[in-house]
Amino acid sequence: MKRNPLFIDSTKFQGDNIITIVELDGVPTENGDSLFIKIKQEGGEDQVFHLTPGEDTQWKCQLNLPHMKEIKYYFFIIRDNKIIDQTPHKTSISSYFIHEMWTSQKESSQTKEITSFDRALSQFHERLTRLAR
Amino acid sequence: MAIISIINQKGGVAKTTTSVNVAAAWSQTGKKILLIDLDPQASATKSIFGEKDFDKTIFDVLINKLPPEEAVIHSDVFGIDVIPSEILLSGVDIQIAAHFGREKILKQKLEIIKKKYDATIIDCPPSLGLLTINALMASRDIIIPICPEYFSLKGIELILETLSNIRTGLGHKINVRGIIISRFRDRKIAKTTIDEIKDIYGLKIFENYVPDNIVVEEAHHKHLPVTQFAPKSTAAKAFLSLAKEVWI
Repeated sequence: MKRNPLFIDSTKFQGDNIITIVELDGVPTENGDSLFIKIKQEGGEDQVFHLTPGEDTQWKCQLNLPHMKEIKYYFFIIRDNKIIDQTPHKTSISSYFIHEMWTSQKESSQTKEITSFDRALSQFHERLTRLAR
Repeated sequence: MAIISIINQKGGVAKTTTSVNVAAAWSQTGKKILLIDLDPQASATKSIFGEKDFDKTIFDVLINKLPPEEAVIHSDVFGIDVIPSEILLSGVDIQIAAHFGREKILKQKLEIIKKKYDATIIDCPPSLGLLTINALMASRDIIIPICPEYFSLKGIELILETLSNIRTGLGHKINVRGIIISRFRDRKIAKTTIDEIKDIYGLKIFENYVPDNIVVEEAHHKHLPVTQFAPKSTAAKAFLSLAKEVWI
């Protein structure tokens, strides 16, 4: 993953412990819902952290992460002890701040379907144009 | 105490004009102001002091461990303290690239001196490099001067991306105090651009626009703030009102 060296903290070595602020905006939660982040560090195990509600539809938490290591994470909402929705899995490099807008995995897969449908449609149009010639 | 960077990676948007004139207008209201010229072209330094060369500049502060107080020059005309710049500053990026804490050198240097002033203004270079990163890491707020034209939107996007990268990679949150409209001409395209900035980015635009007026350029040539060079001009009035509006 490419990173501009201007934005890398020169006072930290890769793997040094840093505090990462996590903010997730636009979360469609209802009263009583809980929000979590499941995060896997490079060479580590899955860890789950609880987010707390902030202003409006924002949720946040602070994590201890190793500086500049690959992380994989996603957010999920729990209602009545069940996961009712989650974001798509994301891979990134750990640093001081993670800011995301809530995207439901369901919406994301719908988008994929639309995209493949659009591709098929454009291929069909191309074939029609060729036939017309 | 506040450190404010005047920044736009796009050139020719009146960063220096804004820096020196807002600083001078603040000093007229009794505020103690320090202006740091961080642009290797030294435009702010030349605008205030003419072609005079300085032995001690911001280069020495960043590279030669000179205490910043020793580089401060007072301008009676502008009523402010200035840490001047010089062309050697253009090589600083290479010199500090391997430094431990290269992005916070200026911040550390200003820790003590900033307490002597009501505000410190940093006139940033028109590029993204370690000098600009140092200015931003030292600043709590930024002010973005723009000329209201199509390409200014791209410039704002670049700055916001830079701020986001600094928050993510360096852990420093910077507040955009607002956008200053400079070289304003009452034309439809200018108003459209201003509306777009409000709609797209939701940023504060200061209400006092600085008009496109020849006295601004002439004031630079005479090494005077616009408010002294042409006190009755629309530009001078705009700077006075703007300085009041920008101050928190």
